[in-house]
Amino acid sequence: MNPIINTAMMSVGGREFLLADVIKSAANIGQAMITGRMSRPNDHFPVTKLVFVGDEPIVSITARGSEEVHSDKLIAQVGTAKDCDDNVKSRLSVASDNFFTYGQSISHSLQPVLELLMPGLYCCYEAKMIPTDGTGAYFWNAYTQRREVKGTADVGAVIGRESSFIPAFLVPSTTLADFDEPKVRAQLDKIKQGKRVGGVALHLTGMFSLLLDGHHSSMACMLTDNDFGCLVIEPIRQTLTEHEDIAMEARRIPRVIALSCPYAKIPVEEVPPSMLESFLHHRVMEKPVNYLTLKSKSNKVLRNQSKKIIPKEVHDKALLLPTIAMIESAHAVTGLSDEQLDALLAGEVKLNDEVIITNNFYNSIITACNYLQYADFDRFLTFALDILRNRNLTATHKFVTERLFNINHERIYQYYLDIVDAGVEGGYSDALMPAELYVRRYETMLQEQEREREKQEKLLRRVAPRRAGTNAIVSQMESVVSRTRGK
Amino acid sequence: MAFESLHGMKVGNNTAEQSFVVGDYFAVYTRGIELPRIYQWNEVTAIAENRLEFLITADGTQYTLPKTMIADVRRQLALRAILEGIVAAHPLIDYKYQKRVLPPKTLYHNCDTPPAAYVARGTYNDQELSYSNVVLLGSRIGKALIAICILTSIIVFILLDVFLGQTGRNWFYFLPIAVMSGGVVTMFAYLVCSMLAKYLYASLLHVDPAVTQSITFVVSNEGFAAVESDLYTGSDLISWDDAMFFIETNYVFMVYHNQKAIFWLPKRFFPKDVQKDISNFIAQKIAQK
Repeated sequence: MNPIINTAMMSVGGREFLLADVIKSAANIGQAMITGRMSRPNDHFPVTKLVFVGDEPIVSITARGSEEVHSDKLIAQVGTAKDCDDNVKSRLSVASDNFFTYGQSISHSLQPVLELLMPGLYCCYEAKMIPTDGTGAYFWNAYTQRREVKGTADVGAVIGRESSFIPAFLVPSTTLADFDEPKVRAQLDKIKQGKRVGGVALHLTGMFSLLLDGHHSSMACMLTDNDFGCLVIEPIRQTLTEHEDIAMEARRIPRVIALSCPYAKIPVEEVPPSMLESFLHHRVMEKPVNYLTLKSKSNKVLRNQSKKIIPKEVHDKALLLPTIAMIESAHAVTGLSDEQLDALLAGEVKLNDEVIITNNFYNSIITACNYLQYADFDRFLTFALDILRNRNLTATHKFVTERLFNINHERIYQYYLDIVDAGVEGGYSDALMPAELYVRRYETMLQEQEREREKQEKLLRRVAPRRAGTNAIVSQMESVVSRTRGK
Repeated sequence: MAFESLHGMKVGNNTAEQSFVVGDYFAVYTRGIELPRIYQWNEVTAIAENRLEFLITADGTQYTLPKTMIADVRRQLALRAILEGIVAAHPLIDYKYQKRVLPPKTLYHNCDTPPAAYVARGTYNDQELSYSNVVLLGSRIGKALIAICILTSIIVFILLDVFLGQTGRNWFYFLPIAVMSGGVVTMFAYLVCSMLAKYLYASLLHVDPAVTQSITFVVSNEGFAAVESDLYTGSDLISWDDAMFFIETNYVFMVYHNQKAIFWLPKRFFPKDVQKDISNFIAQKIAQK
């Protein structure tokens, strides 16, 4: 079967993306709703959705009911894409290589992947992803057990239906058993050569996407403190209706005004007519041809018998990446001025009779910290350390201390060093223990870094003469070749 | 919550005054206007089907989807299935439909057919449906026929007495004549009713094209189904909770819902011993009459 795909580059609300209409395809990648039990409208027993690659179910997403969009879901890895067709795997890696390494266009790069998707409308774009489970745990081995994952609700408490966001948190499509250190080194080499590395991700639910390709690249990016970019593919399955107030005024049920996916809300009038018609034809519950195979495989338990260990450095760096709470706060707060922060530090929740964040002081501090840490790290440090210095805000100290503890930073070190130096007499008896732990850890880290630097320098000193020799040989050979060509 | 896995359908073409897309949304394209009016199904208040068209009322406007726009009978049936699946998910929609042999799809729920199920595929046979219709009629009007028979007998007996008299001497002749008259009248009434039942069945064939299609029948622990094979998804069943009782005739099993036979399962699709198993299986689920 020859795949038929129409694409169009679009820009809505300052966001650029590729709108792809998959009309005919191999349907190797997609979602299938499992309808195992007798269900009726308003039933609230769990409904499970399987995300599959080829004939392999990869992730199961369980919601309380098919209509439930506001509650978080249970996520579990039930399979690995390693077991699927080589053709599928190679197309995925070719797509990310074409885009990130060879700098080809998004439509050209994604073409081989779009040919694998279930028919429907898709929004594709490049975005910086966060390779964690949303709470600071590196994503690769975070879903081996079925658990409720924060931020998986279709419509979040803070990020509403009308908000646009990037589903940046990741769920792996392979298990840790597929982790291969040489592959990470290969990606590190690419980065050292100045090349970009990235992956391909498919939106799953809420703020989460399934990483189809680029697991090793994500680790390489973490190790080198580079952003991990992905080509994100979001199925467009929902619509956005007009605001309820407008509909109430006109005494009608809210009308459909846009096609909706997390990244973009595309006004109906801006969607190319043929693509709009295609969207209207496709139904959310359409089943893939391999539905029964997938369903039979979905009950197996994924046993992670791998003894492979993710480098500690990756775990440590994952702790520093933005969390769901931070991103939610960034959506909840449009900005915080210095005056507003000063008012919060003074224990106020209002400034000039206007509520700064919420009427709850503790929540205001948490939201402010989340927002600042996500949006402006320097101001976050200043604000957080000011909170710790303020004896009137002890109720928030535990939260701020925990937040700062995982961050290795000179300013935090200095603050804790002062506390350690002041000792019990300084009046910081509660903070003394975490301060000592932090100072010890930070100094150990500095020593390790120093040792590493020395090792690198020694290695460079040893390699440099050899490299010079090699360069001389290469230049001699080049001159010989050019002379031969001249003749 | 049924037949949601069926692909959406376009009714009409670009040359028609109005064309429609029926799927997760109901979209109305008007000729000359590029942008369709997209309705959510909660904006739809009524759906009706008659011999010639489907009528959908949304936001106070009634849209007519003529069946002539859908030449293929199978596509007509697919559209009906999609609409009835939507009615199942939106019970507030007022739905009117014509008589039919297959159960309305509004009764179905999302549920995969379990591996251990009786599944058969084939077309209905005129004879079995017609015969079963007559049997059904007989079971319905049986008591009335007995009453007619007794009443006619008594009336004839009285008439004989009035006109011929001397009942004491002639009762030996009067009684068999009266009983025979009752029998003849009853037989005549039964024949008239049977012909009426056959006529009604013949008219049903005109109304419901599904009768001529290949049907997939399912009897399982979770529920049962009789769906046009082209539309069979393997994920839609009617719960046994929605069934009242069943009747077994020589040709079919008939399952009742709200005093109407909704599920006609021809016995000929199964070997004799399996027929017995199915009878016992259904009897475990619902009462037999």
